[in-house]
Amino acid sequence: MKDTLKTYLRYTSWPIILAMIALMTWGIVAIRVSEQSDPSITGFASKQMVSALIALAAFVVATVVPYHRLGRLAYFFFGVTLIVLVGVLFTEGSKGSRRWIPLGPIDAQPSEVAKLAFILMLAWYLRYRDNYRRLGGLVVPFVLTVVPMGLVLIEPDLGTSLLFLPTLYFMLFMAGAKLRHLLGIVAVATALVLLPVVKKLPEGAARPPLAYGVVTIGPARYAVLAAPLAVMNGYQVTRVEVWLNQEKTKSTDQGRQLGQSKMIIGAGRLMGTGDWNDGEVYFQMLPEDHTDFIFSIIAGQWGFLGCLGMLAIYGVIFVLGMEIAVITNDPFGRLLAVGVVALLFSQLVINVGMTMGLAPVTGMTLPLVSYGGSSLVVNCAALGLLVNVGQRRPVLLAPKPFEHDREG
Amino acid sequence: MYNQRIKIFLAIIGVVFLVVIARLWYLQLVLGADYRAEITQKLQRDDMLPAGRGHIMDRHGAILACDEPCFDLCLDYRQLFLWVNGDPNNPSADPNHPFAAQARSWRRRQINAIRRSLRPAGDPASMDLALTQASEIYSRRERNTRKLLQDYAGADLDEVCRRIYNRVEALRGPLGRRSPIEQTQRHVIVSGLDDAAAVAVKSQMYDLVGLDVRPSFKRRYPYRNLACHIIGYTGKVSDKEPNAYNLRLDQADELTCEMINYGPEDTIGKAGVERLCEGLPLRRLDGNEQAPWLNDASLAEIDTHLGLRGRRGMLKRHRLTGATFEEIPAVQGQDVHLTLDIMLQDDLTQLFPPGVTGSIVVLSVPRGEVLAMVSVPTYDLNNFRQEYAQLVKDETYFPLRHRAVSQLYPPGSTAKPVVALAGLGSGVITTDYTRDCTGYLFSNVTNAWRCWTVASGMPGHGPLNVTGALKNSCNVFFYHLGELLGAGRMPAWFEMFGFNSPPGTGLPEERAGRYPDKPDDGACRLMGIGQGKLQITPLHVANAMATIARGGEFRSPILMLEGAGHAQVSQRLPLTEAQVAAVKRGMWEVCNESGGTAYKVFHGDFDPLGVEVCGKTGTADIQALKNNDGVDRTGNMAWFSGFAPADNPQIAIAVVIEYVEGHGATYAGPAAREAIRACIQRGYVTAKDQGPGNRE
Repeated sequence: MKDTLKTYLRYTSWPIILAMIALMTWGIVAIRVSEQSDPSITGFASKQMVSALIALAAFVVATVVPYHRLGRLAYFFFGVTLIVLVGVLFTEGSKGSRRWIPLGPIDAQPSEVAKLAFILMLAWYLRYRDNYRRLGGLVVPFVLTVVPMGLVLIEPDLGTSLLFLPTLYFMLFMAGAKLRHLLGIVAVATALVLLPVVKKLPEGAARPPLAYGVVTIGPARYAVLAAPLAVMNGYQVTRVEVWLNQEKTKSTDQGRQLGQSKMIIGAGRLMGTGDWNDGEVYFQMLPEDHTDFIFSIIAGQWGFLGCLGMLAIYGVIFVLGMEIAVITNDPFGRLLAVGVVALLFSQLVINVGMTMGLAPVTGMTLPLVSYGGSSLVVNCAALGLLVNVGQRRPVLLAPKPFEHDREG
Repeated sequence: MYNQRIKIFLAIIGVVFLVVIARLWYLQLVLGADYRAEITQKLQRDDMLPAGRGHIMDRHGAILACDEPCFDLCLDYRQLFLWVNGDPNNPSADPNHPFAAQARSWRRRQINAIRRSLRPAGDPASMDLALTQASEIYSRRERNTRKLLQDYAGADLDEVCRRIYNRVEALRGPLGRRSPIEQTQRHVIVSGLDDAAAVAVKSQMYDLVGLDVRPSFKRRYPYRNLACHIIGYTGKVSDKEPNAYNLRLDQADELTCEMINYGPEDTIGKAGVERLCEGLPLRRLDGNEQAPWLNDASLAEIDTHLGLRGRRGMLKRHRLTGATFEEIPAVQGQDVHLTLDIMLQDDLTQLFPPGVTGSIVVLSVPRGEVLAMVSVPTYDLNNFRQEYAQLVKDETYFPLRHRAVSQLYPPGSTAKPVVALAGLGSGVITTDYTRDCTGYLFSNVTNAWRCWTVASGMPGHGPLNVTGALKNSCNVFFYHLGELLGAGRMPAWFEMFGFNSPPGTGLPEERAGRYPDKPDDGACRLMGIGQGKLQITPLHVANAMATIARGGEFRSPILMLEGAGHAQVSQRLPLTEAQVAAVKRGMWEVCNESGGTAYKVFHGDFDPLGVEVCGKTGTADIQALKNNDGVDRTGNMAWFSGFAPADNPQIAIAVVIEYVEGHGATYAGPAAREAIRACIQRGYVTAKDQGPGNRE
């Protein structure tokens, strides 16, 4: 028992754990900052601390249980998750979306759990196959992705649903799917997204935003626009429009959030705002600053150097995660490690990108940092799985097959 | 292959990180200073500090107009904006208005503040509940505020709000400011609340929103209706005035604009001295010409040119801590000292019995100062706003008209001394020139160039020189003289006496006299006796008298002891001492020699004045005034003009009594005598050197 524990602790990736705890702590401090400044949110930092403790417990659990056992349950987890995702659509919802399931004192967000279940399922599904090296073999993974993605999209939770595709891509890529297939699918999808469709305009309607053009044929007017624009909600179109015209729209209701976010980030300059009062007053002008826009607070409060520091901590997790993916020679473990890294990386990029105007604003948390218990617990559990994979590395004396160095 | 793909994956992560870092570098290190400045600006709250309006005082320091403390009800522009822009009846409402987001954000902050007060700290669970409650409380406060304002402002509330809205929105524009300071200020909705009303509102403040009770000033006029036309009145700037007076951003920096430009609810002088001495600005009334020094003038420079209005100040404070970043103190408006003596003005006003209208002007001869300038009827400046509708409708007595400077009258025979001097000065007659008055110029036909004696059934005056013609006010002599002067000389001489331009005190109501540039012989003859096409104001007449009294030195009358309106034009007319003396002698005989037209005015059964007066009576024909209200005004304009004392002139006077059935000597003469008596009592005329034959 003692020896087991010793081995266990020796092969545990402590830098990842340290990085994780550092990010969580930083997140709590940042939430405290935004809470100080905004009278409409109080007690969020302390609540996040409780969530962090639960998340650490989830992390420990995820490291202790051998990941292969979880793998055997992957399809079960995935199925249950899908059922819950369907179930959540029948809840009352709040703020116009149905994302939460009330569980006593807390609300759980099944879409967060779905991300983890999806990685497990996909890694389990892909582990001993090679049919995805043919175009036809890609159909099943794509279908398995589109189903949870669609359910999350209906909630609606555009941000979370956008995570599934990059994660799938990274995992397929690492599993060895042919690059030309993957790129081909991207090309076809892009073409489909930009495909012009014609939509008849109601009498007297204005030119729809972002339309390619408006054609008048006889008495009727038709708008020519990209296919998704024809079906997207008004506010979603507005977000894209805001993103594409940031300077023009920064004083509108919709563009204001992005404008404020960029302003706060910029005002951080090299070292951060320094003057607590100024930051405090200004941070309250940014809605959702404790959740989706926490990165703006961090950039405003700690400046460019702080941002570099935070990116470096994420970098540690990604590099060490990839190292684990290299060291382990279990196919399921490899894909699981890649999936966790891809998941965290996608979240980071989408979130940070949207606060800086590099991507349209979608609801997306900054992993391990943003306020939100479900997100925190799931991301910690995901890291737990990563560490788990690392702990169960093969004890080999000879070099691993096909590998000539460990640089990776 | 797997390891290679790991490398590619890490490379992708690296590239994406580089993109993110590049963006951060751009936002934080390249644009950072701009963003920081933008935030600092948003953290700063600017409050306008109002400047009190200066006092208007008479020559002895009696206060004619002053600011009296009162309270204003002011509403935050963002609340006002939400009302006006959200009003479905407002055709210009625009949900996509650039300011709408900011106004809504302001409302959100109000609700959040309520929410914080509702919710015990550290209880996020009740957040949504608190939001609903807070929104309800906010709506209730909004309703209360609206109702309260309606109670005070009456039915015009919507109109007042819309007017403020339109004016503030007008400040946004290609030449205006992107976010004018007015959009975060509170604007006066109701003004002039007394203490009791202010306390009543303050006691309800806890249940109101966006409202402020602010100390303010109300203009008060202690002498009520005395000199009302001279003092004038103030009012809210009209829609056009700011455009005419305000500096544009291409003319001055933003701070200067904010300090001196007129805001939507600012007070501006509308008439009289209140307008004349308004001070800056800014542009001349007539054109759009900008005083050139104002372009890019510094605030200190501007402060030296302030008038009654003064300049507002600004307090720049931290939005949260209230710490003062910078304070630019307001500059109180300059006091204005008039040459007027309000007590003399009072004496002279009382000379008009009820129902009698007219004007009296008294000038000091040596300096040309206006000592009193009465125009009757008057109105009470303190109730002016309430009575305005009625005053402006009165087209029988025209109480708003400043008769002394803006009513053009035919001067009648009071013009004869001027015509006489024109004749002497231009050389068409000499002091020895004699004309035989047969009673008529051409033939004795009714109303055809006859002398007034003939019309009264008396014979003509016989041979008269210029002195005798003045004494007897002989029409035939002056018909003839007018004809001799002709179109070549008469207008030029009227111009020398200042009849062609406004009298020159600077009062905005002043009007220039009117006469043809090239009159024909008939017109010249008629203008020779002050009739026909010659029309001037009482101030013109009084000033002509002062010019004669000074021995032929023209000075434009002045109303200010210093400052605006103080500039005086003076000019020596081409007259010899003997010529002026002959005219003065004629005017002396009018009053002091038996047979003079005003002899009986100054010699009769009353307290003697104690000084000798030189004067000239006048009886001007005028068309009857008929209007719709059934009161017709008919008769003559009775004139008396002159100066006193005869040997050492100190005051010049012109009196006109409107629409009387009789002569100048009967009506205007006694009024002038009593006016001169008042001047003596007030010390403006000192009796010395009383010559023989002065007393009866």
